[in-house]
Amino acid sequence: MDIFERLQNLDKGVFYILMALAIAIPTVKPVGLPVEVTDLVRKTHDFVQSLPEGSKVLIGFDYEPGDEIDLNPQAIALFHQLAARKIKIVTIASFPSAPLFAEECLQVLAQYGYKYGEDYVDLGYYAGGESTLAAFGTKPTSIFTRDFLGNNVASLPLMNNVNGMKDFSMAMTLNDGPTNGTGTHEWVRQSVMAHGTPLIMGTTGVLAAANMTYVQSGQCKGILAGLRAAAEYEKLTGKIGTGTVGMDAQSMAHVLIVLFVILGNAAMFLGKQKARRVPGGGAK
Amino acid sequence: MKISGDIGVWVGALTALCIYSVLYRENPAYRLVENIFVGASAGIAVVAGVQTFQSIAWNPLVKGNVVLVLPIVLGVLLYARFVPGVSYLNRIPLAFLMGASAGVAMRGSIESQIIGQISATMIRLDNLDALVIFAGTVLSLGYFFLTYKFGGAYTQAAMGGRYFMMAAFGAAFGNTVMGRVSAAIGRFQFILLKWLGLG
Repeated sequence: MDIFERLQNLDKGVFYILMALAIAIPTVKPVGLPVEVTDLVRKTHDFVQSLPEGSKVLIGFDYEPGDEIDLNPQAIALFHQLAARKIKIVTIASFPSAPLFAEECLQVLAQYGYKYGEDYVDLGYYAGGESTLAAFGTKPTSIFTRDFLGNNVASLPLMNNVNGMKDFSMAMTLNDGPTNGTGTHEWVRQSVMAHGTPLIMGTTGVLAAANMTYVQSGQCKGILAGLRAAAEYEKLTGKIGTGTVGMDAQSMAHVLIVLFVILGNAAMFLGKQKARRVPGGGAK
Repeated sequence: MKISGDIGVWVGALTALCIYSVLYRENPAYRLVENIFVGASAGIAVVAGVQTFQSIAWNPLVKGNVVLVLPIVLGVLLYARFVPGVSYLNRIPLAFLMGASAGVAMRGSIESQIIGQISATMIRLDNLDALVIFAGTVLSLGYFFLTYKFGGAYTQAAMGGRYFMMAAFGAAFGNTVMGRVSAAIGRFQFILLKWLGLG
């Protein structure tokens, strides 16, 4: 078996081990690769920065466990920016487990002196996807009578001034796809189209390409795509977090993947050429 | 190295390792955790469903909002499919759900997903980005004109549309890979930093 065949038939276990090392080593010993801020993330940051101080924003936690590594750092970086501008935050969640992520991310607000019920509220989970979001848009208390902590929503000072989607200066969905929860298309329809509330998106890397069209068309004011966008946002806010820490590992993993793609294809083409040169040989 | 003393962190780390063990081979530890995950997910969904029913249906009903009887009855009828003889009754709430969902979605979808997207391609062709968007849209649409075979230059143009789509698929695949790597990084951070206290 020559080297081309060996590369073509490489045990996948070898790749798994190399991938594990490529992620583990920079996680434990970060290299500190530079993070450049892209135009799209800067545009999103600038839009949030333009919101009136003291206004209210609605953040939808629309993801399940497994995608929190992409989306939690985005939420935390955004909360730092919002809190620095004294903007009040209301969170909702379209997956049963998602309010736990909201709780985790909202903890950063404590360092800004934010008080629960006055400056931020976690309303928790709602079932029903788009239909429920539509109802929330016209009358939030018809969907949430109790918040995630069990408080009466009507007793929370922040919610007394919220009568619908139009009362928010911005909505954001942190989204990992439309399965069961409320998808990005639904958010565009129910915030931008139905109430004219500006929308930004935080998505997993998988969803980014499909939703970029909303940004290009101007229907969405900005988009954060994956862990890299979180790292860039952390750089803009000056609050370094898990997004930046994860970028070293992600870069190493990508280098390894690209290397294997090049090696695999090179081995295939060179192997075919060699086979053609052998009398009676040909592409297998 | 400072290993976590939090039992929740230990459970999370050990279950993650059990799941990753399938990369070596199928084994009982993987199957156990997989089944626990399915069961726990179903349990959480049931609890969330009951809480939702209580908060937006049952509690307002007992406080006098009798109009909620109608959606509650419709909800109960969804389970009629499990009762032989009256299973047809579940079509009523299903029809209602489909109609209401379509109506809600229709409200903004024509403008957001058709008119808005089309108008976004009607731009001044004064830079390379605009030219790529324009050419990509026209050529990709041309690829899907399937009712008549033009041949010649049109076929070449349609092939151009195919290449634009391939580039889009490549970008989507790259983003997908990035997302999967991110998920692995999340677990590695949890295991190495939060559980084992390395770094």
